[in-house]
Amino acid sequence: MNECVVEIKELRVSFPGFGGSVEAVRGISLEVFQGEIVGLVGESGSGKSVSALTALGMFPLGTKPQVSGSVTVLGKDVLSMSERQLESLRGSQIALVPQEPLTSLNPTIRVGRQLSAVIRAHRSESAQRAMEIGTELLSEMMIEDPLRVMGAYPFELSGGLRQRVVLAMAFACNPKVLIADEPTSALDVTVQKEVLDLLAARARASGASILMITHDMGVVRYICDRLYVMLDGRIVESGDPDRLLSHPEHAYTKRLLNALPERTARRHLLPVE
Amino acid sequence: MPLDTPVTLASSNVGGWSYIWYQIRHSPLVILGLAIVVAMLAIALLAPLLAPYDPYAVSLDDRLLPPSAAHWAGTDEIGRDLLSRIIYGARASLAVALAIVTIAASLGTLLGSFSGLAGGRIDAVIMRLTDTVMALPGLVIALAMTAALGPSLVNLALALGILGVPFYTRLARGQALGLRQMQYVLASRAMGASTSYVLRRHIVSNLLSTMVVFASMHISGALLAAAALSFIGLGAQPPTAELGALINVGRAYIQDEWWYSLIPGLVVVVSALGFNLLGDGIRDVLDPKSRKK
Repeated sequence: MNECVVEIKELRVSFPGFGGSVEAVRGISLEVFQGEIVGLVGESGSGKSVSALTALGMFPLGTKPQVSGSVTVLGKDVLSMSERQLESLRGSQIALVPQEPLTSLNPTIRVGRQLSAVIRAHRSESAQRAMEIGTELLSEMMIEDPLRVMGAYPFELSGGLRQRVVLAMAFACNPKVLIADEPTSALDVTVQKEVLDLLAARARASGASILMITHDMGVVRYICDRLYVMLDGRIVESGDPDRLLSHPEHAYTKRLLNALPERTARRHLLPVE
Repeated sequence: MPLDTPVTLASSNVGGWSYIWYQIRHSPLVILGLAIVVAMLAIALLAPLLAPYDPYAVSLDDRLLPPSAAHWAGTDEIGRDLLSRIIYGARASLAVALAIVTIAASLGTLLGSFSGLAGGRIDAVIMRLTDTVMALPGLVIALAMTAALGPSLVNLALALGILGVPFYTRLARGQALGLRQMQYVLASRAMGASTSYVLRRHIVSNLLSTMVVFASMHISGALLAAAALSFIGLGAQPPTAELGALINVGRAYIQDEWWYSLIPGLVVVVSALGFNLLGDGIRDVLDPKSRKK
């Protein structure tokens, strides 16, 4: 592992609200090196998504949080960049695989147009050439009939297909960093594995790093090189996933692992005769 | 499943126009509305071909004739053919109604979706302005505005159009507030989409169907409001033929030549009804939630 592509230092994010502000992220530091797949696990509301979005210089629309600390992506200080600079960074250098593949595509625009819009936003290509690149990207994502998918509306596609389209969009401009916000939690297990394999294979091939946000320990063990565990806006434990999952040190990590259904349920199930 | 197994697209393109036609075909009222609207549009577009006489040709020998084979709707007080004047009047009324709706819908949609997307102070200011305009009695303010701008069909359309803006603004803003929370807005911002792209492609394009439904309901109201203002003399000026103005002039002769006011009045009522029925139909097609079984 050589270069550090994402470096978050002492990041604090708080959202002002009625009756005091809510501190979603309370001083976290994390690093993602080049070519690495890093997991960020924690329960709902632990601040994972907010932390990851700050790497893109983004916050949920309509909120104005107070932010302190530093976020450096590919050597650039994201928090001090202008909105226009951020727009050219997003999608080309750092991309997001959003939380729910089923709703991450606009239902009123054909897939091809949405995909080529990403390509045209960052590369100076003609509309026709962008469609061709998009079609190639889809076939790289193991979609058999890419031309038909390009001409389809998102609601005509299955969840797995839609997630492949979203992946194609994320990889469209060969970003160096991918933020994957629970990319597979809305998919069933077999499709999950395919999507994870695609994500990892493509990232390894292009040397991209992935910051994978999830609460699924199976996903972590399957794909991640390194792991951070978050609780209440703080990072409580980090390190190698195999070690962390077999010998958790922090009490919360232990609780998290004990909450896995396969660990507890196995003892209570009766064998099938 | 191994990684190298390609995935195929299962579904095909369903719906579209055949579905819309299916919906329309099964509702006689919508067909009636559609027929009326198509007839009105045809009359408006083909007025010069359909009108049997020049609507401005004066013939003082033929004043206030009753309906006959030569003059189907009779003649007016200076002998102009009433049917021709009604046909041209329908054209003017319809054009004004469409102009009003176009002004209100386009401005309102843009303003509302911008307001909802921007949020915060901008949103608050736009919404308070909207409330202010909505609090004013529409027809009275339109009256004052046209009186101030000078009575003409163009000023009438402007006044009624601007007064219609807040209704679209509110509707669009409410939808935009929901739409901006969608994952695809977040996703596309994360891919480097600019605010104007989000506004155009994600917000406006997704609330268009709601706006079309509202606009189709608005047309009949706009038609009636325009006729009402012309009736009190703030719209079309003589000698221009306009339905509201025709009714107003005919009012003076209503005791003996009752058809003079009645026929243009019926045309207004029937076309307003037609647009209303069609609007209901469009809503049923475009808004699945309100669809009856």
